[in-house]
Amino acid sequence: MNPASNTRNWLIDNQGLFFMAPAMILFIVFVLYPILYIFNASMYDWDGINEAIYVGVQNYIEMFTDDRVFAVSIRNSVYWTFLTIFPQMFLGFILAYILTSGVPLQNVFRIIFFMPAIVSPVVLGIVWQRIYAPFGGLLADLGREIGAMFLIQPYIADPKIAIFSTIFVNVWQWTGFSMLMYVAGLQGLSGEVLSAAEVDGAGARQRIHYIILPMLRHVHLTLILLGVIGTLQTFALVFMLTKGGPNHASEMLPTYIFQKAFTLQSMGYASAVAVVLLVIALSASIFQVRVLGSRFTIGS
Amino acid sequence: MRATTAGRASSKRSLGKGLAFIFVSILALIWLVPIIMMLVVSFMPPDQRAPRFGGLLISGVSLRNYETIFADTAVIRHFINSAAVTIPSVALVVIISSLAAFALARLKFLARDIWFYLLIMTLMLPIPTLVVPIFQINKALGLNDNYLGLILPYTALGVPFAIVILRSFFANFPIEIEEAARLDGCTRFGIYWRIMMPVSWPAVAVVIIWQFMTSWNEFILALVTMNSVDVKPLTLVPLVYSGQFLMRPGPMFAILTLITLPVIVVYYLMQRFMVSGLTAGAVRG
Amino acid sequence: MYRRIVFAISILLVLAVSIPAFAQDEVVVRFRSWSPVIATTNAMIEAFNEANPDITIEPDITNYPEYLVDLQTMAAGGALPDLIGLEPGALTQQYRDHLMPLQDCAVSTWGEDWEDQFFPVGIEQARLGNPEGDDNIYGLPVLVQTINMWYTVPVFEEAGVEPPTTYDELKELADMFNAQGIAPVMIGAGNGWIRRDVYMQLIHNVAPGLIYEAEDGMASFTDEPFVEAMTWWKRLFDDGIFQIGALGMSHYPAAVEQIQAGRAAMFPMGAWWQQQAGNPDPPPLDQNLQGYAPFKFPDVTGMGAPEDLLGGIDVMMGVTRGSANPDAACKVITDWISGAGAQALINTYNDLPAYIGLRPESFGSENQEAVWDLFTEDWLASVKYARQLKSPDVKQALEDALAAVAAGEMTPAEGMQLVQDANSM
Repeated sequence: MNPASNTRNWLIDNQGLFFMAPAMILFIVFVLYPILYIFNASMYDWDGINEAIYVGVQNYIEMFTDDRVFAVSIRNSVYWTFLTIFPQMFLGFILAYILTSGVPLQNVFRIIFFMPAIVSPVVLGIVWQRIYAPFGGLLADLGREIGAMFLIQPYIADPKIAIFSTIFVNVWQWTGFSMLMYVAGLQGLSGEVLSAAEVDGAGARQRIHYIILPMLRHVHLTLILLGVIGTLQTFALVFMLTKGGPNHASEMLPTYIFQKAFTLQSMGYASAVAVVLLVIALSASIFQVRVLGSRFTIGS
Repeated sequence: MRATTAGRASSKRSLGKGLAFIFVSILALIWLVPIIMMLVVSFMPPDQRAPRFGGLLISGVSLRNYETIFADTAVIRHFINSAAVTIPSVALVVIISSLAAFALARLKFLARDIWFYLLIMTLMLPIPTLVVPIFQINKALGLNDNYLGLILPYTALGVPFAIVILRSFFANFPIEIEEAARLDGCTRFGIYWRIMMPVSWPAVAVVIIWQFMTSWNEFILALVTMNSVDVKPLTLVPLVYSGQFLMRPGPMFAILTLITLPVIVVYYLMQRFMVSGLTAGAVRG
Repeated sequence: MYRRIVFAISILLVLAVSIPAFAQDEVVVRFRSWSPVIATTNAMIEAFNEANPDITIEPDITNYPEYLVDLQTMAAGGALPDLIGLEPGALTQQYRDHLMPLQDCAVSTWGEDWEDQFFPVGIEQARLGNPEGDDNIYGLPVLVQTINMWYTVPVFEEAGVEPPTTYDELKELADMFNAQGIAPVMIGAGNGWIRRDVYMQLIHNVAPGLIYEAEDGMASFTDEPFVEAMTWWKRLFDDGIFQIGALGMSHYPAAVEQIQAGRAAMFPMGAWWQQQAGNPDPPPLDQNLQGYAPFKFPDVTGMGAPEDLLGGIDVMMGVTRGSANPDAACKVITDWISGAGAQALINTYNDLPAYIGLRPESFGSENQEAVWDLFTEDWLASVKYARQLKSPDVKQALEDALAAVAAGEMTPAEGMQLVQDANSM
């Protein structure tokens, strides 16, 4: 074997790198640099524009020992993860199943359910405030009208329930996306398998349980992965609906980062929170891919 | 005997369909309430207020808010700018991410898993911290006030999401068909281009919808990148109407409704592609 | 299909790259701010250009939170515009090194005694937070304001009542309006700034001036008067003086919408509320400001309310050091403060002028003129203390504490401890 053919063989074995190249280049320019930038900034006491003072890991120490808001944000992320991903998947699948089975107007329904994901968060924040407001709001006035007084609640004014009211809006907003993913998955399933099962006399429930759900495993895993990432990235909805309040009760990490970086003039500290967010998200993804399915990573 | 079973099954099925239809209809109505509120406010006469039931009931309909935004701003110009940023970024994302997803799902190469993790790390970068470094990169490349100053970052930030979705669909593709094609002398690229892509329309449609939506709606990066009116996208317009002390929900909701429409159209078109993708796959299979 | 897509991309990429960077010979002043709103800014530019056609102003007005991102990004990238809108204190200080001292510009426009031509609170606050010995003016005040209460005239007339001056009167009115389904005091306490505004008026009632001493470390935020003011704040919720669910509502737009619909008897706001009359398509109460009148925050302690109101700069403007046309920028600022641009600005009743003696060219109602005169001749001249606090961290802690106490998560004393902790950092 001569060296030239060695290189040639290596290139043939690794031709995946050519397929990857454009993505890698974009990644290096537009993502790697920001990551390094954030990491560097996290070591400084810095207001974002004036001279920065090197403080080492001080920002990190403060975050883990003396930052109540950071702790609340982490707690909220845990709530958010479990209370959005599974309801969204469950409801999304049911909708997708019904809306691929040939009910009338199914294309219209698919648009309706997906619409909340499309509409600007600015609108969603204002509109949901109007729905939730105990004074002049939709739920409260409806409650007064029909005598259902339990509908009059301080949905986003009470720190104990504000985060759950926000999560509810998030589920409303993103169920359509889960539906879309399942629709795409169901369309991708071979029709023969399904009709074969039908001929075998399998009932709808059995078909779903034993055939369809297992075949959509890749969709479930993708939705969980995206759900975790989406949770850790939640910004616009919280920012527009509750501003993270009252008293940070509905704060999420990105809204906290925004506040620190731009309102409180602590870009250094905000960067440190961003680094922690990156580390959490990355370990959650690796953990999940490793535990939930090797097929997902290896892909064969 | 056989016929009766089939008959019972089919009447049972149509009953199930009827129930399902009622279920989704009710749910759709609930789902629509906030959307209707947006429309209602955008059509509310600007000198009226609807303080009860969250503003769902209004006493008149007017097009004044829409007239206002068309009179105040170059809506058409901004619309073209949005399209000039969004369409190239969607196309680039589809091509770049499908190539990468194919490699990640079907090929073995150096440090493959590490690349995958690095790429999905992109999804986790908190947007507020990205603005400053990306602005600096654009400045170094001379891309501020230029469509490319948004096309490239939107593509870079959109590719990982698209890879996650496409990769899982590619990975699910039966290995037998790929092996058969290899035996027929098909190259790796040929497998990607001629075999995988044509049957992946449902997943590609998801990617197109998503990338269109995010590029079309993004405004923070657009705000710092685009200074001249000639290149500003449509999403910067509502910011003008949401000032702290002068809130004009009417024109703002009108412009936001207009911004939403193209995404709904794209969603509708892509949905049809998803169905045609199924047919293509069935014919081929 | 794919081939067509590839083709389309190539075309679009070529198009995108070939957008020419436009060259300009005339003098351009780039202006970015969150205030005044775009329609007003355009009117000011038009007024300015009548006398100065050779200077082109490129405005960019965005909502405040996004404006902060924009500004910080541009500063970090060394690309600040020529002219920027500023708030006194923390924001101005953050950009101090990027801002040109403007006193020379002021002297050349208005003469040596220029400071006397402004309301004192404007000049004082323009220097807020300057380091010891730095008397430079980094931003010139354009608009100033007071914070105070307003009531809805028809609502009060129908009930046959007068604005309350004591807590008992306030409570009595609250009980009456609550029974009618009208918000006694409408507040969108979901926004931190309005919570802070109300607290500032309460502590000003309990112990005038003390909070500024605490800011400088000469008093503690845990001292009795602060806790007392916090206790009053809590009572405003518990006694049903604020409408229910106040903490989950934004002041703009949610509370304002209810106010405009006539469902609020009273509300905390400031002098800027006059701008409602200048908005396009105003609802009936807003028209010519016929539906609203200002009053001083009631004397909740019963120890006698101070005569003076809290106030400060609404918006000031600074010229950046990197500006290629500082003289043109100076011309623009000074015109917007006391020239044709200022008149265009004031004609929209946006807020009170920092420069003494400006008046809107016309008023639509007697009430509107009376309100204007009350603010400019009486109230603004009395302002001694600032509405704003110096440190962003203390501000945030106070806003958090107010929310926590209102929600019952903290006692007033615990809340003030939170503020003190933020101050000692």
